[in-house]
Amino acid sequence: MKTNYQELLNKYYNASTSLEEEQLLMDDTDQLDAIDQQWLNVCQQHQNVAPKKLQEDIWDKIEQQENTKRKFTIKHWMSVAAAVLIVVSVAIMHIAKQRQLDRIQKMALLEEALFTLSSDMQTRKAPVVLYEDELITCYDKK
Amino acid sequence: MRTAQFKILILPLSERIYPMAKRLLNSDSEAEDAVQEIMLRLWNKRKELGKHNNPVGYALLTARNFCLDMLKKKKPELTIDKHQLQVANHRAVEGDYESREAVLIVQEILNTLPTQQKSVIQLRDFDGFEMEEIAVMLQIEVPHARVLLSRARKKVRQQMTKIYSYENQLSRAAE
Repeated sequence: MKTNYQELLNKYYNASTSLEEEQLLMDDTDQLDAIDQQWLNVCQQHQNVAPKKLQEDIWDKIEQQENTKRKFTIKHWMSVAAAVLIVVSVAIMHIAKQRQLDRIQKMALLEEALFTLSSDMQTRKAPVVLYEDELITCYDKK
Repeated sequence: MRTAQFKILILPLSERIYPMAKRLLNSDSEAEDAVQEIMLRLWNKRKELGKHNNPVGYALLTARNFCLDMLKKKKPELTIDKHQLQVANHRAVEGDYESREAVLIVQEILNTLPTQQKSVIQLRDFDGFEMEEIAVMLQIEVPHARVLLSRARKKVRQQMTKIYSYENQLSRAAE
């Protein structure tokens, strides 16, 4: 039995033992001399064991992070959509306003033409047809 | 890397990383925080991790580098608390003076070893990593890691034998 341990110890010092074999040596240090015992005991003292629920705690944290990310993504896309909606409505309003302005301008021109026509008719008494043509041309242009 | 793969392959590593983190950071809570942070980083990098040839090795290397970075940041605090630590240690070991003495002797011996030998022996004999994992973490070949470990173990034994035989001589002389 002792020779087995000696062989194992030789393997250990040549760094060719597996972790299981090393554990075997640590579990049975009585078979070894004082120095090896001391060394393996120190190794055992240094070995730290992870807390029981470490993996679960980590997974909870990962899930928590993912949920926060998901919420942030939803909020992010919602604000992007809102911004796009605002831009589109502003553009539509601008176009509508522009069209309204154009119509007002046309109406003003028409009004001006009609006013000129009526005043000309009153002062010069020119033939109506000629003014009608001018009016139509002016309206078409605008 | 998919969630299921991450849960099977990477998440269980947290329990194996913890002893190293605890040894390097010398604190339970800091080791726990470090392991959680490492796992979160690996989770965020899971796409890269999936493409890697050796995801486990990559994870362990990331973990070691993270702990060493934390240790560097922590150093000033440690020097301030050194005295307090010594006092606390002395109190804790009153009942077990011999084993505490052995730990201190081993620590002294380990500090005399070349950096790579020290790292290999700590990763193997204190943290319980496989040789392949140690080789990845230290970015060396497995046979080289074995040579370093063998030399380190032999040196530690040699030094311990010297110290204990000297102590024995002293006690005999005193008698």
